[in-house]
Amino acid sequence: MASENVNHNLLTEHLSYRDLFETDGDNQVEKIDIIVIGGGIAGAATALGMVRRGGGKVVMFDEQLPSQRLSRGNFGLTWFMPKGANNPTYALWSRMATMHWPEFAAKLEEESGYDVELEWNGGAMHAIGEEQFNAYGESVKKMTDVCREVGLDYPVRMLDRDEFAAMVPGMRLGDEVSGAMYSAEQGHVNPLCLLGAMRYAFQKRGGVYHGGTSVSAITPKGNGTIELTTSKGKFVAEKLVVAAGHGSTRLLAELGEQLHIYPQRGQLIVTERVKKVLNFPILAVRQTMDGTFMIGLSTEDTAHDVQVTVEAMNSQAKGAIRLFPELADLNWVRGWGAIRVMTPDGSPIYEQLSEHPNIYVLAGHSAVSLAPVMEKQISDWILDRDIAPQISQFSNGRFNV
Amino acid sequence: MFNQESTVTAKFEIVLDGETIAVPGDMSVAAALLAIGKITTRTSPTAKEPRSPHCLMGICFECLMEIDGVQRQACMTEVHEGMVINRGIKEGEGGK
Repeated sequence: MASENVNHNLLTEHLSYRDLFETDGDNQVEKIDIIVIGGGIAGAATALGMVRRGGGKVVMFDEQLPSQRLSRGNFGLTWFMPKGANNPTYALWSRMATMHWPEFAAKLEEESGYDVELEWNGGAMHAIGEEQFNAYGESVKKMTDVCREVGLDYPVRMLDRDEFAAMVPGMRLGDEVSGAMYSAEQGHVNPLCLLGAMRYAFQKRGGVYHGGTSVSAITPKGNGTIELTTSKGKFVAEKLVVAAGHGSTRLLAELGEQLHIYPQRGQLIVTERVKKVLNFPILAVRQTMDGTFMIGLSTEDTAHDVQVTVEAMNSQAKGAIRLFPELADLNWVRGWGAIRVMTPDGSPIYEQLSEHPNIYVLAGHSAVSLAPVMEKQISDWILDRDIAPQISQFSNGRFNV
Repeated sequence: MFNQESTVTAKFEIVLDGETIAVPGDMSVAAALLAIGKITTRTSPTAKEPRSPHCLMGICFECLMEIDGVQRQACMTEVHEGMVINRGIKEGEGGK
């Protein structure tokens, strides 16, 4: 093994090589300020926020499991309506995040050169029949009151059928459509471009990204650091952020923390590209910049099964055609299923482990909509810069009974 | 442009963009049109630029055209006698 020692000494003299050099065994372990496990939208937005704020050496691991790729399988809405009906803190949090989307996207595009395809022309949720229209109206009233109590506006209103029809001049409404709940301050993005842009900007600012890397153990050390055992060797960091979606459950169980998340499947239908005629997204139907219609509004409890079912495709297609009859003429090109990370109350989890306060956990649904608060408020919290008052309300412990 | 296998003997008359034209048979619509030099399949609805078949295996959707009244993938549809095809492309864009 003498020759290996010679090489080893050579490498330690060349820091640029050493940065790339990881080994499991001897004392050659990289020193890192913050490790983020999970390179999806939540992990990437937080990691980007931390490198932008001078958080030191930040390293991100992404397992790239083929089955758990929600950051690619989602609908791409930047949306707050009507989130948080039973939780004003979450309503405020969603609204705050969405408000900042245009500036968030602009900065990201400037920094990365990626166009994330943000369309910021509003968003609607259509109603079928009078009963649903009235129920939506009640919901708007209730949410407006909830938000007013915490000093926040709730820029949502009901559109009757005629007004809704006038706002989507390129499409014909189905006969049963009674109107819609609408906000001008919503939109949608291309989630693939968003993910690429954030990971690229993160690395451009000195962040280190390790794709295809699995973490097998998190070991808190007596000296206040955390050691990670990975498929690329061992790493040691001052702080750890666990944002690995459903993978977080396994990682945290070993530390005695039961994460309160469960899988929920959603399915999507993708059509051929046609002329761009729908200028803002509806919750169930959106048209992308390249002319594709995406259709989806399903929720099923099917554990981690991502298969596409005839029943869901059928009911979603029917629902979309009831909204816009013209969609019936389009070719359906693809469909896929993806697994949401849901919590019992639908709000996210942001947890600092009481036993290991340098380990942070980020989990939950709506990472696309919440990306601006992940980038700012969550990274400020992890860096001990500024703690948003809402964060304590999103603890994992709130579900402990 | 393309050399045909001499084994292809079937010939069909189809109506392409309003004109009656002869094409080889026993193949997909996309292949038959390529064989007679009609290389443009459609105009992209968003980019407004001409498109040609890219994958020839049903994935890319660049060969969508109106075949017998329905938008179909030309590479996934077998050509037959009397087929009516509308590519909806601009004059002079579709090849010779």
